[in-house]
Amino acid sequence: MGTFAFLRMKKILLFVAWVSIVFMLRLGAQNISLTLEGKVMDVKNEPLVGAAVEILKAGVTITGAYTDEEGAFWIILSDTSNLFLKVSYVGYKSYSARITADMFKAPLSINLPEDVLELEKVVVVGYGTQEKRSVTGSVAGIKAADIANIAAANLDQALQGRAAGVQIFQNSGTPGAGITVRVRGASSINSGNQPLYVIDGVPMNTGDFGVLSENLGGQTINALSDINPNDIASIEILKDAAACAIYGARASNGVVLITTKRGQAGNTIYNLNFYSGIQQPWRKLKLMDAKQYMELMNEAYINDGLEAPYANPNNSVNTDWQNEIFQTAPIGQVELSASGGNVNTRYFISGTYFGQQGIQKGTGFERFNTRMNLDLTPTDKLTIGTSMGLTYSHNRRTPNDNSIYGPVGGALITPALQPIYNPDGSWSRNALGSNPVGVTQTDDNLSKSYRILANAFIRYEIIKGLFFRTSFGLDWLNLNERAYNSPLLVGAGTNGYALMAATQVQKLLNENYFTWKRTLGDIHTLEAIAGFSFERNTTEGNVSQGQNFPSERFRYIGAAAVFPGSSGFRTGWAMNSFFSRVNYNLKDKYFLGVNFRADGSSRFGADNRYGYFPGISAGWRIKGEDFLKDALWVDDLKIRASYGFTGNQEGLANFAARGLFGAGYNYDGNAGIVPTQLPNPSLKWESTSQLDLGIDFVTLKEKISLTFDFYIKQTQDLLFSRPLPTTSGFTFVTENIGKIRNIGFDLSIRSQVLAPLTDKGLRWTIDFNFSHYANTVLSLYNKQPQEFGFVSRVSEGRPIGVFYAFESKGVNPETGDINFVDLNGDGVITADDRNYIGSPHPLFFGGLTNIFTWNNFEFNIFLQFNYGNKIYNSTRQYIESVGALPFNNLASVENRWKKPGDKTDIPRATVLDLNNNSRDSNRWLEDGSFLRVKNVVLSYNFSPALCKRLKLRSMKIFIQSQNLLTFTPYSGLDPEVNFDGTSNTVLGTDFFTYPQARNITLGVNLSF
Amino acid sequence: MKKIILIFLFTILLISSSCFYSCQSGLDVDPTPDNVVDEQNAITNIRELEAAINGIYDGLQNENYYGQYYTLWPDLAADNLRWTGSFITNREVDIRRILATNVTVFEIWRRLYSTINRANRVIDAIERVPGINAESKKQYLGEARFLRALAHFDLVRLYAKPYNNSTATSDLGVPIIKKATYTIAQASEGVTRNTVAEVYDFVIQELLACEELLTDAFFPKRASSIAAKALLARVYLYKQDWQKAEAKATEVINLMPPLTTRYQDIYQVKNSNEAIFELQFLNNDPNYLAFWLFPAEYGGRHEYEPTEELFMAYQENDLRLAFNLVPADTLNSIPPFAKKYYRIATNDDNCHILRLAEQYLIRAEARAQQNNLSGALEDLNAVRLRAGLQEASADTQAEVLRLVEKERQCELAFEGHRWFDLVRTGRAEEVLGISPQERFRLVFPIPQAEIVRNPKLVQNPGY
Repeated sequence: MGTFAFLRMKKILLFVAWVSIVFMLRLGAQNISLTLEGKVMDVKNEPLVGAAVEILKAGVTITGAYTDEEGAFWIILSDTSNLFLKVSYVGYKSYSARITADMFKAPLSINLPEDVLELEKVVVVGYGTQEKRSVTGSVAGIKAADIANIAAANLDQALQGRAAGVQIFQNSGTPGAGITVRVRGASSINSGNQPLYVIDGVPMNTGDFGVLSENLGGQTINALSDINPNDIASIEILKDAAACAIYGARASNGVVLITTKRGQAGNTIYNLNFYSGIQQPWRKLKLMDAKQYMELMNEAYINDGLEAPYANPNNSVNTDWQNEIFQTAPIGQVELSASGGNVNTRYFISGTYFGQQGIQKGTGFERFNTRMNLDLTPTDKLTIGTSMGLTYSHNRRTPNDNSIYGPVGGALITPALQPIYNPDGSWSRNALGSNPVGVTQTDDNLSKSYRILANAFIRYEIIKGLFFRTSFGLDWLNLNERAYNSPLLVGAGTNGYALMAATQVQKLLNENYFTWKRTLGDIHTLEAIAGFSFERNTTEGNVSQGQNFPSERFRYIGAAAVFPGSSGFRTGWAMNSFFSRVNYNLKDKYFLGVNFRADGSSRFGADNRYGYFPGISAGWRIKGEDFLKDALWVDDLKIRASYGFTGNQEGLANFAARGLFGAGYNYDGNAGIVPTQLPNPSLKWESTSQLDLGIDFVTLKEKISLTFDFYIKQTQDLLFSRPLPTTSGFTFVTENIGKIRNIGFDLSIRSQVLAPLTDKGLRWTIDFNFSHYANTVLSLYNKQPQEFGFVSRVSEGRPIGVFYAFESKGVNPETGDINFVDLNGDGVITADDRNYIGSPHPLFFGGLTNIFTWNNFEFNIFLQFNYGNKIYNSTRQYIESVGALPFNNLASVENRWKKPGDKTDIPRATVLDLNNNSRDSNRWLEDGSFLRVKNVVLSYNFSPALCKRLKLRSMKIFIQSQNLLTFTPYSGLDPEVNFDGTSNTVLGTDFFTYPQARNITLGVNLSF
Repeated sequence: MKKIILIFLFTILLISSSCFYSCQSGLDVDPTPDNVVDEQNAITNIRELEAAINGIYDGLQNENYYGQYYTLWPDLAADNLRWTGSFITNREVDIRRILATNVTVFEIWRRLYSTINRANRVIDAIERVPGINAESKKQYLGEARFLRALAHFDLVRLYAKPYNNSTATSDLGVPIIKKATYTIAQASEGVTRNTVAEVYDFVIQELLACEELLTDAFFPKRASSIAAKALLARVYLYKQDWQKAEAKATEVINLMPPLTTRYQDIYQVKNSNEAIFELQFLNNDPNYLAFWLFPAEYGGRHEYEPTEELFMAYQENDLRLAFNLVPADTLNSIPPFAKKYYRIATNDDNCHILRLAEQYLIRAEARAQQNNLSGALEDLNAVRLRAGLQEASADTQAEVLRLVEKERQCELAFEGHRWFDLVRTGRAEEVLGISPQERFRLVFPIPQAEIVRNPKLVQNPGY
């Protein structure tokens, strides 16, 4: 790479020389000046404070101002020929006009109408913004207002169901836990499937960097939870290849662009936001009581010809374990922000505290964060800015998800006849030696994260319309974790086990790019960017363990007697990138966009270091044509098409291409090394091609706006852990093999159903999104299927994670045992008799928001739906064992088979279960569809008059609820479930997963 | 204006310098801080070679090998242990309804072959590493080949039919792997199963070579010449080559101190006089045998519990009964448990892969099979006397063989013998009550996951 570095140095030197020349050529000229004055208001003549007033020449802003407290502005102009005035304000339609001599005679009065359908929104795209009208790619936007005040720890929780084509699944109700996000289906098997998150231009580290994993299952932690949802101004989700290609090798799974709030010129605005409320589990399972359980076990033993274990099935103890571990828990947030500034300096400063206890005892999440975003404009050509977020978050978990020792699992499996405490006051123990209530108190799993997300930039206008921007970005995560497992939690050895770990994750990013915009002869607009970036990532950490503690009071490893191990590591990866984009707009009717990015990554084989990702898109605004000009039924109509390539390297080990020996394989106190990986020098990116055809349609006098996109997304050269015959000594090798395809459509409709005639009338708007995708694994190595989790499978011609198990024909009324399907008809039930029993993927999913406004009231109800997916309920395998396991059973097991002739779906009680009735089969498969009243908010805005009297800008009080109602045929604790966290291949599998909470909060938003 | 130029120059200086310093390594990131090393730099000198040999022993320590399953499953599949835990994979073994998809059946296979590859890599590296003297070279080679032979033998006795003189040349054994894997292409080639006879011949030839190559310098923690002889005695016994089994066992017994170590000291004293090859575990290099066996009250998980049959197998005054087993404590509702491995706090109980008493019992059985009943009883009683029992007597060959069988059950409980003993002697059906239709279950299935990876492997009948 020496040559490369040298070349880059040379380029940089050339650039330095060039920039210096440009500086010297800069000329200043002054003529006679005129002042343009005016006032910007809404249709009700209320002033709009902080509206942007721009003066454009040839499509380029040459000067501008923001409106003041009274909505007024004044701009001094030296040259008045060929100028355009543009006034814009977020949420309102913009105003633009050619500047004429008349305008200087008297102050202007400009009224902006509200832009309910967001037709004029400015959309953030990679390395810049674009007007929604001219966007040719597929981009979904989410407004800050949609997610403000939602009582949730994570930003992605708030996004659930809001954007078409974006499937967000909360795997576990654990506060602050990781969330599965899929943009247009899963496009990878072994590599990452989560989108790339870019906050203020810096790609974020996301995912779980923690080392605590013992018994925590799907309750991963989430680096995204370090962001305060209220600091966000807008979120754009780039979905198609044309929009994503600018992020090249990491964009296969879509890109989520997060823009934080920034200050606007004007007096300082203070915002105080507060909410507080409670959360509860929305569902509990009906389990057997002590007597039912003892009768069941007696029956099971007798059926097997054994002695009944409970001579007298009456027991004074009848513990409701679910009641013991679940609680009504508080949740709340308080936030204070200040923003404002003048033309030269603008700022946004905020500080927030968010706190939440879990609905299961012993869990909780807290976050403190501050943000300071600053923009300086020392001269009209230079802008310097920073975005800085500092966060401390604290996550407390207990074992759960994939653990039957956790409180949730324990509460379900522990028979009611067991008391919580022994007569001597010690914790009682269930068949596994655990105590569900005890574990919530005796064990610690604490993660503390200290996060700095910051960047600083300088932007300079070299000549009119040509800008150069350079920025440094930093994402620094410092994660400190501590665990203590008491002897009560099985797995702890005798006298306690503790772990302490520190992990530092660091990302440094330098980006440099030029943007250029030019309008020629009023009909051609050309916009271009070109640049390069360098990114360096390191992760380092250490872990130490201690064992044998003097008592339960000592929980830090310093008090341990025995130290079973410690370890330390450092790993990293680097990326060098070059990118460019050209957008061409002809007469505001024909649009063309071309993207290109080249990424070089250290993760790939020496033969394939660089990947190239082009994208092209085109749009035709048919409304602009003469033949539609007068069509009243069309307010706007645009068709779009795009095609391009993106890559994926996430989830790939940093050194996956190399043949490696690993250390730490010791014997008898002597260091040992072993071969751990075969070399694959040709390893490269996963490459995803995507075709997108879209239409944007506005009709019925701008009452309905509709966006529809159809896409075909195909990933080839999958980074695939190809199974090797293990007789080779290796189990897998990472290769570029296989294809996976998603075909689908995204539909979103925004409609103003009722527009008020007067200010006080009823207004009703609907926001609806509906998505479908069909996922198919097109090819795998030698057609070999792979199995994951309980019954999940990756198999050619099937969707990823399809369920594969035995098929039950139901309970044989004669024997009481389950009859399994003998698929190959050989008379015995063997592994070959397993079959495809269902898919974890929904047929469709989406969201529906209804907003009603009447007088000062607003009612917002948001429904989320998901239809047609199956859930493998492995929890039931354990709590419907009908005697085969020493665990409690669901109350429904009372309907079990008892005597020949009984017709039921629950087999006979048996301890030995020689027929293996509880084996993996479609007996445990359930419909996972649901309709959820995800969010309801009722709010009251105090009238401007009252606010004025109170010296407030505005004041709003609200009551909000999440997961208020859920309609689902699923029998488990929650239909939004996956015990294996954000896994690609294990989907929709329930195994003692922490359920979601229903919450109700009251809050207030004050602005002064 | 000056200020702006200064700011800009500073920025550009920052960019260029940061790139100059940090991009020097460019996209070639060094992996060693991540505790891995490029393979061409892995074994280049004697110290690294020795580390690679330690890596083979590490394979033996894995929980899917002697660290848990290979040590306890033979007792679970037979009548010494029963399943009382939560792993369905163990349940299948306990009730002898093992599915070919059982994950642990695959893991055991995978770990044993990975151990074999580690050995094969070392065998190649010995030729490459400069400066090894001839003596060391023999020892290194001997250790790698001994461990490779051990793994092959452990594979064949689990996944193939027991050795049968008349059918061994056609019965399918397991693939013999003598070459290390270096490339993806090489790894992807599917191998086929060798016959049982071929695997036994390979193991025997290797061990005979090891007898010569190895010294007893690291006895009993590592492979030694005595260990090679002791393993040979066992292999000959499985092969029903009674004469050679007797001869090898005799060699071992003559080389070892007398059988006088107290039974509990075999376990309580690490590397006692009894040990021939004892796999070492340390607190920071642990196994979890005690954890899986102990009840929750003592910090364990009680995945396995000793059976009634095993309690009954011991005579009341047998010293081994009190040491190996703890009866149920009904007062405090603590279930019965095995406590041969008892270091639950430190998890560093050693595994007794080869020890002296087994050699006595091998010779007893070999002698009985050759109708030397008095010789057989003499060896048997040596073991019995140490256990605090009376000398046993019997008149017929069949009776003596029964006595040996029972003695092995009591003496070697939880050391990974019982299932293999019943299967190789043809006694499993009778003792465990296996019906003729279920007879195929005497051989474990070839893991389904391996057959998917390599369709050239033929599944055992019945699965």
